[in-house]
Amino acid sequence: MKKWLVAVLMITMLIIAGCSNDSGGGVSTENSTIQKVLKEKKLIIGMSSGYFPFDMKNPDGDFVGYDVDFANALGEALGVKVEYKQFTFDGLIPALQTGEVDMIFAGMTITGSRALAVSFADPYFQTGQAVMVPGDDTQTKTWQELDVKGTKIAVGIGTTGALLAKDVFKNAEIMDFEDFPAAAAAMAQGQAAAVVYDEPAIAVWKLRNGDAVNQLEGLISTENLGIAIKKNDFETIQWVNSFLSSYLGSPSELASRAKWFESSEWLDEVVEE
Amino acid sequence: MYQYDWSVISRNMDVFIEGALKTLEISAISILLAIPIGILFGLGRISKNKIVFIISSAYIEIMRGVPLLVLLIWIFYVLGQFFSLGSYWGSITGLSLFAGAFIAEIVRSGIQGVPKGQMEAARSLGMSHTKAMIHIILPQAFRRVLPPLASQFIMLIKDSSLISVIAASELTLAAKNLVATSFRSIEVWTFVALIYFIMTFSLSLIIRYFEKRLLKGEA
Repeated sequence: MKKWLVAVLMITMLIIAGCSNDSGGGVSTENSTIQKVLKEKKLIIGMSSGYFPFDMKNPDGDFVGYDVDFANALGEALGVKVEYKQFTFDGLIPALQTGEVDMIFAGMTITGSRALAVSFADPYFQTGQAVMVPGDDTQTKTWQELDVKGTKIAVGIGTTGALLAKDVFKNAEIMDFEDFPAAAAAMAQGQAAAVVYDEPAIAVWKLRNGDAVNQLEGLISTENLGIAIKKNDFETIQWVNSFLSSYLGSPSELASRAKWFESSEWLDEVVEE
Repeated sequence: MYQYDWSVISRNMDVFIEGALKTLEISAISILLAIPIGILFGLGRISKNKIVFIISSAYIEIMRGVPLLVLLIWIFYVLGQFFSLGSYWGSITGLSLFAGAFIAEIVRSGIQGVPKGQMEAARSLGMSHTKAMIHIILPQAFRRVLPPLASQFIMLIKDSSLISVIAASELTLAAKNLVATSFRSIEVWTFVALIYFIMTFSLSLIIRYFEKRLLKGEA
């Protein structure tokens, strides 16, 4: 039985391995993402919706948000069309690895383990993990108080919030949902006592839901967000870093920042998803 | 382009085994609940009582008309407001209600498949309708419904992968989490597909064995 199992596994592996066009390692600029994008005149961005105010969808089904302004500016600098492909957050890195997308703009936190699978450009945003509780919970002051047996903490699957929560909560149970809105909805329905997620998104959620939710003071961690690029694609990483240093602080970036982080007028234009 | 690393499978074997056992556990509880639901509504569907018939038909049509994924989300987020089901019991509720409707149809067609003459002969021997149903019709229907019932169970194991969206821990959620930390999606999902196949295929072998024995009993 076991031998049979191994045989099936081996065959599957061989088939898959045979299908991929593995051209080996080594640093070359020939198959760099940037060359491919320039040649095809099209930049494909992997994005996950529901990450306020970075990646959201408007009623027409188009992506909007801080990341979208950023990616569009990057496409403009390259002189190519920008196309967005939607994935759940945990599906983004696999999509980049298999070449479905050219880059990931998804407010992705730079971590050591992710950097083993993909490469990151320099950080473009600093944020942290915050804890959101229902509005009628005025008792809880710190996240440590939530770490008791029987308490349920909702997170978005594969997010830094999920990884961090599984690490710091020793007694509470962590529930993995598809994304932040699903986790927040579960908390609103009383299925979970709190949500651990990125601070800007929780701030927007609070803006939108008013007294229905509360954000606990202080962050569990601070972290840096980065654009993910195919592993060891140095030409592309270098180019994105150069673009980053010209974009951050530019008038268009400042306008984008003011629009998404300092005002709430855009809230009505965005679909809850 | 993509560098394969299959060691992620052997390193996390405990995660896969635990997930697979949870999948089997939830599927088994769901089918055990779905069978009585199915028999009840299947009989209701051929009942002469108008109200019972309408209720049974409505239940079956609604369950067949709503995608399981939507049903699960609805149970978790909407029904969850009134009953504290949680992920585990919410999943079992959704799966058993869903499978129950299909079993009801299997039961109905099984009973209706028994030739009319059987009931007429039983009645002419002086048996009541209920008595004839229990002693003559149902035992014959039972043999007819076993094969489709078995494939329903196999279907349920596959459908149970959907409960990962309401945070129920089972094989698919375990795999999603493993992909999120290892980024080895191709390796993990290939192995998960294999586990599902092994579970369903062994089940269908077991069922085939019992079917053969049952047929022998008949001859």
